Amino acid sequence: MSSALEATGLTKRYGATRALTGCSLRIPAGHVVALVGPNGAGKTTLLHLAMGFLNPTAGDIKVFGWSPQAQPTIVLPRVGFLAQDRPLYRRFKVRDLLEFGRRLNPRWDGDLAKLRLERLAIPLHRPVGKLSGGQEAQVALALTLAKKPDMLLLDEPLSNLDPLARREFMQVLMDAVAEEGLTVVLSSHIIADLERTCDYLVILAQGQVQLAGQIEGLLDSHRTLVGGPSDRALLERDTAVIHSSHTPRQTTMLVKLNGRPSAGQWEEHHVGLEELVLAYLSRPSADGSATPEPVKLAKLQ
Amino acid sequence: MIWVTWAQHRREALVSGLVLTVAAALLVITGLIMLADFKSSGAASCAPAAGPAVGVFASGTSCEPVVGAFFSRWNRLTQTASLALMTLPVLLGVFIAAPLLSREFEQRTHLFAWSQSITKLRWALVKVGLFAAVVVVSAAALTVLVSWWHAPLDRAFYSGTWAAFDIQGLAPVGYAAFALSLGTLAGLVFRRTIPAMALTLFLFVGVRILIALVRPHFMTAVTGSALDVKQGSWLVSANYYMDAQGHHVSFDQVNQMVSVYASTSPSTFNGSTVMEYLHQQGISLLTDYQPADRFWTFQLIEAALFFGLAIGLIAASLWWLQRRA
Repeated sequence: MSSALEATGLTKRYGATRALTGCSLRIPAGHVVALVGPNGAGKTTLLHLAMGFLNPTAGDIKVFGWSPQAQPTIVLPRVGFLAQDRPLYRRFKVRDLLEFGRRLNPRWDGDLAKLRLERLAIPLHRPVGKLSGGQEAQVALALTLAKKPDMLLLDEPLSNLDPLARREFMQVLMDAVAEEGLTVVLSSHIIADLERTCDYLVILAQGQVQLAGQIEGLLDSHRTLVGGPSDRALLERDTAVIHSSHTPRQTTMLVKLNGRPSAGQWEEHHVGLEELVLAYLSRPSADGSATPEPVKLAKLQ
Repeated sequence: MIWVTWAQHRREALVSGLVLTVAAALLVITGLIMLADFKSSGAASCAPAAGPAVGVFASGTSCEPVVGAFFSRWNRLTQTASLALMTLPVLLGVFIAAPLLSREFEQRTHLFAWSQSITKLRWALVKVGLFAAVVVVSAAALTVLVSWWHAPLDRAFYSGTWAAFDIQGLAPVGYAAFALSLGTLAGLVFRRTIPAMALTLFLFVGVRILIALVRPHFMTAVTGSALDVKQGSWLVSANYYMDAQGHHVSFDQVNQMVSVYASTSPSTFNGSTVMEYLHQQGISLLTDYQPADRFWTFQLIEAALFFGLAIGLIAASLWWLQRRA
């Protein structure tokens, strides 16, 4: 399958701060991807690099095989981007924003956008700043979809929306995905929002990809094992322990199976998506230190 | 993108247009009244039509009080208007150019604009280019009007056109171009409006003052007798005495010589004999000045400096946007 987004050794530094360090990733076209990680993991940086807003410090990023930095006029019309907090010109009327989009995008489908907004009863003559938060998000989404992109990159699209607005947003998004077969990347630090809609998972932490793959396959290849504290030694050598917790009487571990069944003494459970993400995010990092931000991780639950 | 820029900055455009229209209307009205006064008071016939008059102020002619009265009637207004006109480029830089890009970064709307199918470079080029075109054209038009308005005063001022160097000719257009490019770069680098405005204000005023201090030295000044410098010249030094060997002679020394002369020949001592006496001693009263015919050369140098700075700053802005962002 062709890849929608491919990063090789991608590194981005802001002065002394490293947002991405040698991040490599391949997202095949046609998936709805959850890009998950704590705040500051580099999600926004990755998406901005994919749009060519930033230049990589080192490494390489390709969108549908093109470099967003070197060939922006090929990449930009094919990718719809919704930035964090969904910024719009708030003084503009909805109608003016549609005109804005029409003039700046070669593949623009304004009728479709108008239809979508009318279906949601959003008045086109009202300034964006006077719409409700949910309506504003819908306008931003409609503008992004009207670009007729092959891929949508949505940076925390549900932040600051009430539950009803979240549901409506995801509804419109998934309808569009179903109609047009888009590749979608949704970044979020709240996995619950994405669980039902995404079929592909990318976990980003400390500037690197911790895990990537189709969600179904990932859930199949991971298990939670519960056993006595001494049973750990019995674990097969090629079973990777992602996360473990111990009480005096019991050890609980989340493991990756690598295709082989686990040892018999353990009580074995299937894992949920949220459990899987948490295990990877609380895993000690490559440099040996544990993921440092328990407060931010708490938001995941 | 042109429509987009217009739709986005209509309000600023309308306010600036209004300010310029009011300024132009005031200039036309006061200019016409001043011109009528210039003719009816007789000051016009004292000064020849082309260029600053020579000897208008020669004492004893009837022209001196006429032109002097005209000058003092209009001097106050001229000072105020000059100050206001000199403030315009600062206002432009601080309140329009600095927020032009920084406000987008601050409200994060640049991400919305960049998410369309145009590159960030084109986004900046069209915005800044369009803005620069409007600014240069309106600054040029306003400056032409100011030159017309100031023409009678050019002929009434002792130093002629030099007196209004900052508000006519090519220089004001250069100031405007500098202000807008400085504001643009500051907005791009800081990405926040208030610091961008502050930096624009300080750097603009600083550079303007610095170059105004250097201006008298754009070309080596002409040294000549202080007694027959032609009207319309720009005096760039105080008067000073020099002996035949070309050494400076202090005022104290000259005073001493004069008192010696006064005590030796009290009968013939008066103003003109003193000068004659000093002349015989090889001492002359000199001054350094820039002659009237250098006005346009100086305007060209001043404008070239500011346009050069403006082009450099715009180039730096585009580089910053493309490489550093």
